[in-house]
Amino acid sequence: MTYVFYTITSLLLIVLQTVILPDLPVLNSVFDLTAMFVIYLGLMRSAREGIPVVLMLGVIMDNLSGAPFMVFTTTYFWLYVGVCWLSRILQVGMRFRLAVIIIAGILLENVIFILAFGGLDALRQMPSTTAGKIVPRLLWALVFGPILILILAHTHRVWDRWVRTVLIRRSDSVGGRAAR
Amino acid sequence: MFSKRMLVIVGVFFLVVATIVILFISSNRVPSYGIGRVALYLVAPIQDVVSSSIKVARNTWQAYFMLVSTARQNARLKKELQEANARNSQWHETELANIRLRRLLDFKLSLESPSVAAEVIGMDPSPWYRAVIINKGSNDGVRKGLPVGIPEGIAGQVIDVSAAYAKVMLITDRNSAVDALVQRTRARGIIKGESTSSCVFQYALRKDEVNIGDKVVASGLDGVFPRGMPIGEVSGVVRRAAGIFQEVSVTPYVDFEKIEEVLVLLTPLQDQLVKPQ
Repeated sequence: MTYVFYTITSLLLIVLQTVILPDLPVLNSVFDLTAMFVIYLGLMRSAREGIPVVLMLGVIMDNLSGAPFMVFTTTYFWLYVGVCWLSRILQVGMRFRLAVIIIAGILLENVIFILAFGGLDALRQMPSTTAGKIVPRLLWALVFGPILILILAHTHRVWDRWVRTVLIRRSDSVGGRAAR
Repeated sequence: MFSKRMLVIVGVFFLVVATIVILFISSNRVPSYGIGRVALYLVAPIQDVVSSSIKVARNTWQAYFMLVSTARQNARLKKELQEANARNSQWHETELANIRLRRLLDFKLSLESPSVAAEVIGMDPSPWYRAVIINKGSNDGVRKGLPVGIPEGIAGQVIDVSAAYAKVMLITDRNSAVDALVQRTRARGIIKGESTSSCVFQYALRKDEVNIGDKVVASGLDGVFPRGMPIGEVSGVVRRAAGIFQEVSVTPYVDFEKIEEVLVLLTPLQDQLVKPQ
């Protein structure tokens, strides 16, 4: 059932990012929301749950983007691995740790994109463009990233609780029928 | 001495006479010398207070009902205004869509090859690449490699197709290349995307005359985009002291941030070129 949550959340984030946000003048340069979901998975969920979702998300984004195929899948995979690694290394207060991981995650994502985009030549050729793309996204991520991750964690908890209640109710009714 | 009956008759008689006398006197408007005004002094204020209170109560009651009905009317009018605003906004959108679609239709009629109109339903999730998703796919005859345009100029090329949707790489994408020429001087080059809002006109020879404001159109030599289809306007020219090429920036005519409908040309140029043979 938790995969239903992942599917719904992924679809919501993708639609938000590709359909709704591009129409909003201020928010059209907002950070990659699905990358934030990958960071959430790396931080708070097990690898057994996280890796299939990360790969699925990468493939979907590869299909929607004009990027060469597998760029998103690769980026999300390494982002997930990087976040898992960072979350083990960093032993500081939760808020600070979250901010550092988010910034590092978004930077890592963009570095992989730049490498796929045309190697370091692209970075050298257009440093202002690169900075213009990365800096606003980093700032957005710093402000709204932790909030989004906390919302995702809370929603996931509520979902798990709801699913557990439904399952218990159903098993009770099945048990009652069997006893009769 | 007198019987009881006699006394009653006399009494009634005196009362009748007294009444007649009083009526006669009062009809001549004799002043009451202040006695008659006692009632005015004592009762009138009470009457006034009571009357005013009743008026206030009546007014309050009426005002309350009026307020209730006004509040209801206000709510109804507000709702009607909201609906009217929504309708107005819808009409405005329809009007704008109508203008856009008319232009698209004119553009479609001006094209020699068959085409299909499509709506842009999604943008590229990555800031590094420029692509859009359109709501027409292989079921509508859309194939990989077909050119996509709007009345203002070339938009891009189909790079991926499913049954009902297709992915279009915009000319501003870094992987895009369009064979083009400067309309005025016929200087040739390649329009390459930069993943920003502008493009570069590569491989334009230094000796060729290219000025800011020149119109750049498709040359048709790439076998994809029809010859003469507008691309953009030269927005910057840099001629370095050395080198055989000049650096030319081109601002596309198409505003890719606001692109909503596109036209997919169903017969690419190479097919049209093959047909006569």
